[in-house]
Amino acid sequence: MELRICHLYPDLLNLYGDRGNLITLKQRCLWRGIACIITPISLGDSFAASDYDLVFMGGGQDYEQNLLYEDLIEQKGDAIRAAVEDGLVFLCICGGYQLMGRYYEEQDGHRIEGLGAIDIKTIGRPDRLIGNTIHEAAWLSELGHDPVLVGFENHSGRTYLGPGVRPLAKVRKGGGNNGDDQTEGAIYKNTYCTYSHGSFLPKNPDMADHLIETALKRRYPELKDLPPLDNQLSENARKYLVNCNC
Amino acid sequence: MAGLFRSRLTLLERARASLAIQTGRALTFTLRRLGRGATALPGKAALKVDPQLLKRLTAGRTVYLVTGTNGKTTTVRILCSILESLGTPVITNPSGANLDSGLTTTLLDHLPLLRQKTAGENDLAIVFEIDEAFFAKLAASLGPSVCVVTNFFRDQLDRYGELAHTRDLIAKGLSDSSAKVVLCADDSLCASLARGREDQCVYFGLDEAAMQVGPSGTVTESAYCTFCGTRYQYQAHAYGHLGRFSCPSCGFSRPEPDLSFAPATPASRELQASAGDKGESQALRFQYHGETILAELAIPGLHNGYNASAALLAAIAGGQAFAPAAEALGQARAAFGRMERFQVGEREVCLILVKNPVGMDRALDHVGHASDFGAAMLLLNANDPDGRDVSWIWDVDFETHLLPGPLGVSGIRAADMALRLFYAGKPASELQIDSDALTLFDHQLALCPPGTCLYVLPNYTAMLDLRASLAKRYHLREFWRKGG
Repeated sequence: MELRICHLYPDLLNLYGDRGNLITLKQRCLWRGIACIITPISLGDSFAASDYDLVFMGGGQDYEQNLLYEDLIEQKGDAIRAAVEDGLVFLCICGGYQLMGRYYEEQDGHRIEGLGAIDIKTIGRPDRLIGNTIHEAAWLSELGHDPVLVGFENHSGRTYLGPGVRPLAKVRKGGGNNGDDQTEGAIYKNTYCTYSHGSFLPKNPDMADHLIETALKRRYPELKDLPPLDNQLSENARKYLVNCNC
Repeated sequence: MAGLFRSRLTLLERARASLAIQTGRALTFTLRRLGRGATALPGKAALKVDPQLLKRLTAGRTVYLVTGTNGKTTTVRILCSILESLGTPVITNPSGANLDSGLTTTLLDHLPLLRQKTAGENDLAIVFEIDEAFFAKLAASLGPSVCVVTNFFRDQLDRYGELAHTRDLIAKGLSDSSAKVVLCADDSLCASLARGREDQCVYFGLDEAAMQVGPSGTVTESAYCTFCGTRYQYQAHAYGHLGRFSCPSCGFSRPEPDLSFAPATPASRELQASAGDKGESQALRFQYHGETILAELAIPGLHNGYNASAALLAAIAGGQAFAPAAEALGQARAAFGRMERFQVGEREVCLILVKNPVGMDRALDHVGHASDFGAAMLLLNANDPDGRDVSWIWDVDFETHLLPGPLGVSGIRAADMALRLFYAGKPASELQIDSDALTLFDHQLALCPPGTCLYVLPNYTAMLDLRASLAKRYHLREFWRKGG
């Protein structure tokens, strides 16, 4: 059994330790005897959704994000939109999250078109939402998992969800999507988006396992639940963030 | 007051400056009497009285400014050491006191030196470490003769935001200056600062023959041209994004270094010192416009070869001759908490400050190769000076630099560091986690066989805290007595 991950623009979207998410996905596969292949796909490379079980896109600095914009929208846009509709598993963080949406409106009103793969929009603001975050994902507890998601956010864009998209979690601490409506992140089909850096998956192992399981079950329908792993060190880090008041 | 001001001042200006100096001095005196270190307040008060004071005190003098993301403190330290060895009196700021208030306090602490009349060859030098975010503002009022930009590596991004932005801030600071500019040839972002001021710039870099030839795919940061956005090609690389880069589209490429360095090969290692084998020093071959000198540097690590080159080229840009300046490198010692070593009984302790991914990668590479490795511990804090975001530890390549044996972990965010090491492949049973850094220090030191070294890798405030405890216990020198 193997998990095939596509890492979109690793040499351009590589902020805030987002690669920790891939390290986590890979190790949690290897510890269970599941092979894991990570393929970097960047400028000029073609993207064929059928080659992958999971696609990861992180956030980048403005200069780098501008460099990939045309390649993403013009060259890979159709394939990504179709893959999202088809139920391929995506994890998109911060800038990657915003790019999946309909548009990003800059402070002067100028609109940058996004992929339009999910029905969200983002409005640029002068002040940034920065800090450690705690969010609660009720749907995770319905699946028998820990609903608490911890992370670190650092973004100036405020994101608003359209009717067909549900939030990833409810804000307990931090700004979340926009600082107003208490929502954080987005879920559409099997596409998961969040503003949590920090990294997101190492400290949220149930979320990591949910992504692995969802991705594998599409390819291996006979797959049973994943065997549990020792999460003690993740627990320690989570406990610190939940109790630290920092 | 004759000699204190090198620029022409009106009587009124002179009176105001004098009053400002007296105010600052009085405050310093009071604070020191109270047993407090006074690095910022006296300067702040003096600048209130005369906002132009910093400009007035530095006008007409030889001022060196050192900025960049990594290696500032070590470069300043080496530069001061070179200048002092060559007979030039030096005033420098303690590490951390690099805002206008701290710089002014530093000058107020050295009024007798500033008053000395000697001009010419052995005239006083002022060497300031400047935080990259404040460079633009300070460069204008300090009127530097030489500006050094060490490099641009990714730091804690919640401090200043983007690297390209940090680069632009420094470019702004250089824009009105006629200073000689010392740049790293191998760092594309750094070398790009020469655009439009080519005549002012000189470069240091690693000898290409000492670089690794390899695919440029290993470069993932600052991988795209600063000017046109095309992916750089690398003919060879050192570490991080440092290397012989060239843009296939617009032609921007690594400039030829004026000063190059290379680790001296064993065959030519005439200067091999007894300490060399233990990884405490290194022999370096410097080439400057066709002239070659072998020198020993008592601070190990390729990155410190870069720092030594930056300092050496700065000294040359400031008017020193190459050969004596290179030979003076032997006198330089590691800065406070940066590869700083001291003896504890039969064992040694080495403190290596690590505050961003490339710094940690360099430190792990060094420690992993040290023949006197006994044990190691990592300390991770998340106070404001450290950056509150610790996600950078996931950008460190712990996987290829996994240290052997039981690893100690402490600091406010010890749990995050332990988790990172666990995912890098360190079994939980080999992680010794203790919230008390000093207790952990004793535990890890006891693991070291006699004759070996305990390597301590803290980030900024963790280093300050632990070093203060160790200084008290082992009677180490207090850092604020001498510029870091």
